[in-house]
Amino acid sequence: MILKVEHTTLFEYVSPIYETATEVRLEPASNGINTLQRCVNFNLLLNPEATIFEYTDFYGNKVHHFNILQSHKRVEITATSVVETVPGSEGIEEQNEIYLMDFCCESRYVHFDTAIRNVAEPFRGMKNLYQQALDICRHINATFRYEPGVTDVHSTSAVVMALGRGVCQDFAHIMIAVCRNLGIPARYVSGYLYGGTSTPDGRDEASHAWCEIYCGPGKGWIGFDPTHSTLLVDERYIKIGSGRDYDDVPPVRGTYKGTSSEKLSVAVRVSSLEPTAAVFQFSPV
Amino acid sequence: MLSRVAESLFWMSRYVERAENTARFLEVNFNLLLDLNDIAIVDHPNYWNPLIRVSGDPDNFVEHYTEYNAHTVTDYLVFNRQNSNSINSSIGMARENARSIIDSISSEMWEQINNLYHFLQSMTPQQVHNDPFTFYKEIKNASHLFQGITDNIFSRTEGWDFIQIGKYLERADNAARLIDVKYHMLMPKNGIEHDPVLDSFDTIQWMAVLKSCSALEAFRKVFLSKIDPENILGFLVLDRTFPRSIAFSVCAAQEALWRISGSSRHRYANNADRLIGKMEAELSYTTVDDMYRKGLHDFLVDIEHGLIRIGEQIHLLYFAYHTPKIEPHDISEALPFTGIAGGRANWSQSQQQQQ
Repeated sequence: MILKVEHTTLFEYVSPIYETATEVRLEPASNGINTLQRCVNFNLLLNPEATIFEYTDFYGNKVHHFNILQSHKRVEITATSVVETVPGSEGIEEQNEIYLMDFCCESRYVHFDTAIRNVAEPFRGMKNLYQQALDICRHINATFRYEPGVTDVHSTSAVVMALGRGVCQDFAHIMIAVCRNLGIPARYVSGYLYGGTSTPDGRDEASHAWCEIYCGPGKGWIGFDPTHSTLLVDERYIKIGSGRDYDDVPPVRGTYKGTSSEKLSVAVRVSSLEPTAAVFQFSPV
Repeated sequence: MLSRVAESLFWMSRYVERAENTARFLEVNFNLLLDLNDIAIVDHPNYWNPLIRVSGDPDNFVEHYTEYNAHTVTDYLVFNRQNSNSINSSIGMARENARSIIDSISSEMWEQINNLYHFLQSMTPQQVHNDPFTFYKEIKNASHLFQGITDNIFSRTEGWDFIQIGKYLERADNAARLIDVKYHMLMPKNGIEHDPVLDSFDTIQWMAVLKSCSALEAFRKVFLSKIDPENILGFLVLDRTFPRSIAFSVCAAQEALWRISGSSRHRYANNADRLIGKMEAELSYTTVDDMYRKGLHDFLVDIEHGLIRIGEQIHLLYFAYHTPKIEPHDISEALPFTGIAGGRANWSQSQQQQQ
């Protein structure tokens, strides 16, 4: 599919702030080591204007960063991209197996506590990693309730376990925690979903997140989305990047100086550029 | 050194001192009320209202609370984050400033501020109310520990001088406000016959003023006989040896400013040096009689305003590194000088949850 993403982040301040330093991970990954999709076009617009620098981080994600030194009362970041997605059934090989170590242990948002161990226990000892991951994904999708507003961006897996509710970010962290607890490498994926929880015209209030599980040599990294009952990642999914957990791939992160209180609003819109898109329906595999 | 590092050192130090002073005011007020318990009605709002006037903004207070009493005033001055001068806000800001220069200060300094911050987060208003003495002592000791650590392991570079300037300007400012408010309450009543009960009542209150600067014992060593307002004023404003007096603080800030700019007596290099030199000279050649002649309130207000102007000059001279070229054309968008409110820490932008 050819999908277009418009993602606008707006920070507003009551009184002037200054020296904003911001890092964004908004450019979809492109046929590199981490994905098979192709990012055809990417454009980052800033208001107020600033020079944009970029680098590739440790996990291979492209990062853009900029500073706004003079005082200002709003920062608007608009990222537009066009991506050609792939069916997703094919895994991505891991070239460098030592990197798998990072995706096997606890991290900032992923904790191995008793609750996680209890969830993991019934799945222990299965031979087929792909089947195991799929079962875990189905289990999480069935037992956790999707409910925005009960958790926040900084909720760890332990908090979500206690609540039993959350949003995609939390579901992904739980699945990662369970898989890693069983010794299966798992990573957090930040991205977008076409036609997911959004309204019919494709408007949305946030980006999406899911996870990728390493299903062994030959199979590679395969995407699972515990938030949606379709479970497997397909061509509706656009991947921005991946890391150990949310903290490695936040879409927008930064600091500013000043005393003002801050208001953040986000608008995400994913639309299809294919003429048949209007009647596109997901067919069960 | 970078301007932003200098600025953060200055405010880090200033906020720690501010938190300590607020803790002192509150602690002494609690003790004072215990002393007065049998001879006056201690739940009178008049015993709490001055604390709000000392530390800033009565208008802001009445927006949040309906009356002045131990609970509301403690809540406002200790916990309320809407009050930018509350102990919680001050330590929060000190910590944010320290965090943004974590590579320039020692890890012990950071740990101490961070400890204090987390200690405050763990406290509830009820705990403070049950045992105010222990709580305020903890804050004071934490501030002393921080200053002690800094004194012991921070290299005597320009950074050290900015730490000193922040600390002493804040201390002088707090002392001036405290005396101003208390003197207003305890003003000698001319023409009224001396009433021994009222006099002893005033004495207790003046002792409280001294205690809130930890000055009672130092004062007693100089003035053996009587607690009288004139001696107290002379001591708290003009004494050159007591480290919490206004004159001492101004002197110490002046020396730190001189070390940075290379100024010396009669030879100032910039406006900040000039203004602080002027204030230091004023304090050196003033007597208590002069203060009375001018009117104590006016005298103290002049000092407070003078300190703000000095802060502004330091800001323009050392911290404000924005050139007109990158400032916005729209003047309402420009960053104003924040005065003693400070608040120039680095904050993290909010992040949006992925849904």
